[in-house]
Amino acid sequence: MALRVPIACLAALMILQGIFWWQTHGRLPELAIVPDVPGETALRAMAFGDEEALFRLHALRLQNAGDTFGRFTALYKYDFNKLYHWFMALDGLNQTSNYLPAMAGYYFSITQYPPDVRYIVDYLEAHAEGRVEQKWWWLVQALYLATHKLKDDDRALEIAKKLEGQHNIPVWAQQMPAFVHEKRGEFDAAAEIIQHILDSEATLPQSELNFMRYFVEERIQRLDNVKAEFDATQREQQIRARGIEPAPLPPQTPPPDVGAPKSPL
Amino acid sequence: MFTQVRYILLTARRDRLFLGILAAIFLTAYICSVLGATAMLEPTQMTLALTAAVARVVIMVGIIVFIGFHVQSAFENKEIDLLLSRPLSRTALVLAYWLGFALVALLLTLPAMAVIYYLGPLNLTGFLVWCVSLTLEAWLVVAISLFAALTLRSGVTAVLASLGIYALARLMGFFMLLISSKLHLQDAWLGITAHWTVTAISTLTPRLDFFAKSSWLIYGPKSYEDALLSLYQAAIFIPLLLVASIIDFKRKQF
Repeated sequence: MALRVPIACLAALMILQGIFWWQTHGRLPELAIVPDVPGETALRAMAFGDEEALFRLHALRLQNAGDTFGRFTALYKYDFNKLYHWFMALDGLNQTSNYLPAMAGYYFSITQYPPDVRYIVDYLEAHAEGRVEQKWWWLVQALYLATHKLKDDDRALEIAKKLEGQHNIPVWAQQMPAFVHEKRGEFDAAAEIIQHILDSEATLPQSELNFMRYFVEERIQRLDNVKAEFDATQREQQIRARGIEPAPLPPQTPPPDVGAPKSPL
Repeated sequence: MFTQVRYILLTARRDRLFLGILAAIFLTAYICSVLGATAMLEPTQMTLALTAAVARVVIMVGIIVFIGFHVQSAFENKEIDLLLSRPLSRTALVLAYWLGFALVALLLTLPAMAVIYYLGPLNLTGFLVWCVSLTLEAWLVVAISLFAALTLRSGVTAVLASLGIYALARLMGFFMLLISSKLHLQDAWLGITAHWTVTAISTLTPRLDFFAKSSWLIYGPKSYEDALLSLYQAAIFIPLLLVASIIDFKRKQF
């Protein structure tokens, strides 16, 4: 009898709670893809004196960002500017680990929106800054991404130059600037770099020597070809200047029987 | 004195402290191993760092809660009065308490060390330094908790105060960074006050951020100085807290 009022109150409150739940069960926490980046000071405070543990925790969080609670988010939807700042902030907690550059270089770089790759290239370059001998691999990755994803040979050359003259890294990595020069059509610069490596490296395996010799000779050959073409054109112009009709050029259009569209010329 | 130490060990066993912490450490290690296995690179490093950090928190919280409520129940059940009626000085009683709790703390850190060893630390010197440092941290936390429990009669207050001091001590490196940084508040007077307040607090708070760094398990300590700092801090602060506890305990009226 005495409990009737409290039980009634309990029932009423239970009903109120039920109504509250009904009204609010659809209000879910907002899930961002890439979480907001804390400041350096806040990050230090969150570490509670153990930066390594916080680094690992946040690195794992970044790895799974956008793919939690049953979500699978395409990489083009990620905010790469935020990712860049996350990488830089976490590098402040642990500069030795290869976890972040690996995540950036192997995973985030495969975004469907290639212009975003510039953030990855910038990060990988910054990560290796001032310690190329330990982190040359990430410079090579940045170089690869700049060349093949961004198609930016100027940026690639900028990165490749950091590998030049570093003697405690593999020879093929030292040769990277030569390959970029080669791609830009700067054969003389490419041959010069290879020649410089040949001169400065005391011990090179025979296979490496063979390749480098082939590379230099082929570039010299190409330069000779270019020079020969240049001389031929010059001679032709001199003949024209004297009023003699040069031999007609071979047709520059595809053959008529290959199904190629007709040239407008 | 040794009877007191034995009694503390018995109460720890009775309260299932060892079993609870052991289970928590194994569970922690298992969860961290699963998380570490999902890492795309450096899974061992991930597991080691997370296990070491979480196991440390589990042990320290276990110690703080156990000491807080053990001492409170000793006061409530008049065990302290009974102990003081025996030919045992108050100084010896406080020292016996610390010794007993320190032994409990050492026994609690052993499973964590074993688990980390099983996971495979990447730097053996770092692992040894981490083990010593973890034990020292646990002993320092014992001193903090004992001081709080003896000075504050309520178990809850003692636990909360100890947790607060522990968090503050772990954050002290960050506060020192703030003091030495060029950050300035808009109000110059407020800035100066904040600066001196933090400086004053930092002089009386231990630097627990020097202790048991997870990075030692992976890369080893950066230098001997890095490893020795925790030893110096413990050597200074544990006796300091014990002396403070003895003074307070001697002045108590029963």
